[in-house]
Amino acid sequence: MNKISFTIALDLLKNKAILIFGFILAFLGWGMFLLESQPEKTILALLQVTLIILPLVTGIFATVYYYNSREFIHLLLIQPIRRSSVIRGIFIGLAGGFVFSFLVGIGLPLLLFYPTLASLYLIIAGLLLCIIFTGIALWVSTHQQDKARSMGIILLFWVFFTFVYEGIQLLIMYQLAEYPIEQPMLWSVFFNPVSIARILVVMQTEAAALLGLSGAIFQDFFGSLKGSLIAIGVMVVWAVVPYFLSRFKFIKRDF
Amino acid sequence: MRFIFLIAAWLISLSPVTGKTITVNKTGPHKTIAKALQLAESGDRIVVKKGTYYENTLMINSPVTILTTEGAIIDGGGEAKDILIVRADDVHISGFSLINVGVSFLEEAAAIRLVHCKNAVIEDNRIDSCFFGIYVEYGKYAKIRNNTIRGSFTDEASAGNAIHAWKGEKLTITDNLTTGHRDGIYFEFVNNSRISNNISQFNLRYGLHFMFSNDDVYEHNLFKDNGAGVAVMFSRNITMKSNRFIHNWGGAAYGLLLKEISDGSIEGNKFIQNTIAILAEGANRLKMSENVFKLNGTAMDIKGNCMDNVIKRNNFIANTFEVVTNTKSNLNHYSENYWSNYSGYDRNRDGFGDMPYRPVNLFAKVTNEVPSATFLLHSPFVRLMEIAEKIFPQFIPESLIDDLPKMAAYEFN
Repeated sequence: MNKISFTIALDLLKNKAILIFGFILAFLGWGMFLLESQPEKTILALLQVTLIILPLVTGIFATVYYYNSREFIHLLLIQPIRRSSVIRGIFIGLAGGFVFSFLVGIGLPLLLFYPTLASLYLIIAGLLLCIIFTGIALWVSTHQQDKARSMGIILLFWVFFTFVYEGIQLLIMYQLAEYPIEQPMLWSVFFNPVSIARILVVMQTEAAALLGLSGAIFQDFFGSLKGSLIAIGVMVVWAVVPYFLSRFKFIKRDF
Repeated sequence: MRFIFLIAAWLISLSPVTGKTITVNKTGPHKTIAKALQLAESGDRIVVKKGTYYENTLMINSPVTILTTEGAIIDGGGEAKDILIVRADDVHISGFSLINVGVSFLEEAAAIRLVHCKNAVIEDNRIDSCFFGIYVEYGKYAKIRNNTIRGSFTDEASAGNAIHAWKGEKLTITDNLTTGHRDGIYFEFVNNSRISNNISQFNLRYGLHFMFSNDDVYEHNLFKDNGAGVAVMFSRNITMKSNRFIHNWGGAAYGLLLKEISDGSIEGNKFIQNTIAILAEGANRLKMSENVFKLNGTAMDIKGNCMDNVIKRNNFIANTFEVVTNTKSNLNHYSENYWSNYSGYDRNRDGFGDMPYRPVNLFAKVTNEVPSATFLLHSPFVRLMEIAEKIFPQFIPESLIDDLPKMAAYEFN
């Protein structure tokens, strides 16, 4: 199993696309800190990168990689190896590759130039987002025969989590403005890993005070250590569940 | 001849009235300040030697100078009674440490109280752990200089103000440090007064608070980390100049709160890292110019009941929200400001952008209507919405524009 994930991770790191992705992340991460004199603003810009670009690239690339290495997977399946080890190897290899490029590109400059709690949370959130979207991509890919369809579905997931979900939340809040909806809204955040990641980080920056009275419920929850641990826990669930769904399918599937 | 006589008379009137000097000393002959005050006549000097004097309710009924050069301490003993009460004109108090005035909800006890008097000079005193620091009641021409007033209150309801003026004319309050009280400086019905070069920080409510006070000037003060920097309410003709409002940060904190005020000017101030730099409600005909708004949550929250304010030649740099309002119309004038979020161009090179700038941000408007939506702060969806609104403005007030946005920041000192 370890050998499979190691091979895949190494293969990924040699891949041109992932190199370019890592280079872009590094360019943004290091460049912004070197150009911008206010680290508080830089971390918000890097947050946007982590929330928008990271899930998109991770999801799309994992899908493409899965389909492109189909023959390799078939070859592996011929060997006397358990199917669960193969899928676990693929998952860990893919996620490991992305996590590595994220850590070098964005994690390292954050730790070097702005070693705060907000940076730490941003690194944890970005890391988990990499794993989550790798899992979702595998889940979609194992269920679909067609590569293009998988790409479409993963793009839909991305659009839904980064844009649509919060749009719906805002719409609901507009409609139900007269009701005490803060508590349900707090719970609804847990159904979107991108939102959890964003709120985790924003709560650690000074922007938290902007939330004011109505944001107090969020601040009480996410501002406390217990709340942030629960939020990170929910993200871990988000990372694990799609992987287990794909593993379940992968084991049963007829290739 | 008559002229020379007049000059001679004038010179005589200028020469100081020479009174006697009474020395208060622990070793006698006068062991208490109360005793010395009984003996003192108009124009006398009371010099207090080193030591701690446990006295309170010291009435000063004649124009005397009472001072210490050796840092004498007067301890009020924690009772809810004033330490020094000035009831005569031309009293001069300097150099003391005044400590321990107790909290009472019936008496507003203070370290120094001025009652119905003129020309008092209170300088170089240290006031620690007192309910109220300096309390002016019907005071005129008083000078309060270079005092340090420290409280250690934690609860707003049971805290007093550091410098409290209730009914006054032509007061001068300069170079004081106030900290840890409810309000740093409080003015109610005080007119034609000047507050300058003071530092007011870590006060629970406001650094400086005006109520029903007109024609006052405050300048070159520093307001830092207070519940709110300055509150100006129900007042006219207040000049606010060259002050610094720094890091008044928290859920309900403001740099400057304007409520029902008119005809003042706000010039050359610096607002840095406040949750809301200026909150204006019912503020009319104010001139705001040459101010710097930097790194605030909201630079200006101007409610719909504000009219005819002129906001001209200010720097707005790196604020999360620049202008917030709760109305679709606009009755104020914005022009020639520098907005760091402006992304227009300047073809004729006159230093001003060719496209007008709309400083109201759509998300700021959304959160104004649905406050609970603030948790969407910095979300990609909100970012998308803002871009769309910038290209096709639909919801933000159409007339709230700066038609001459400056391309580069002004260089104010």
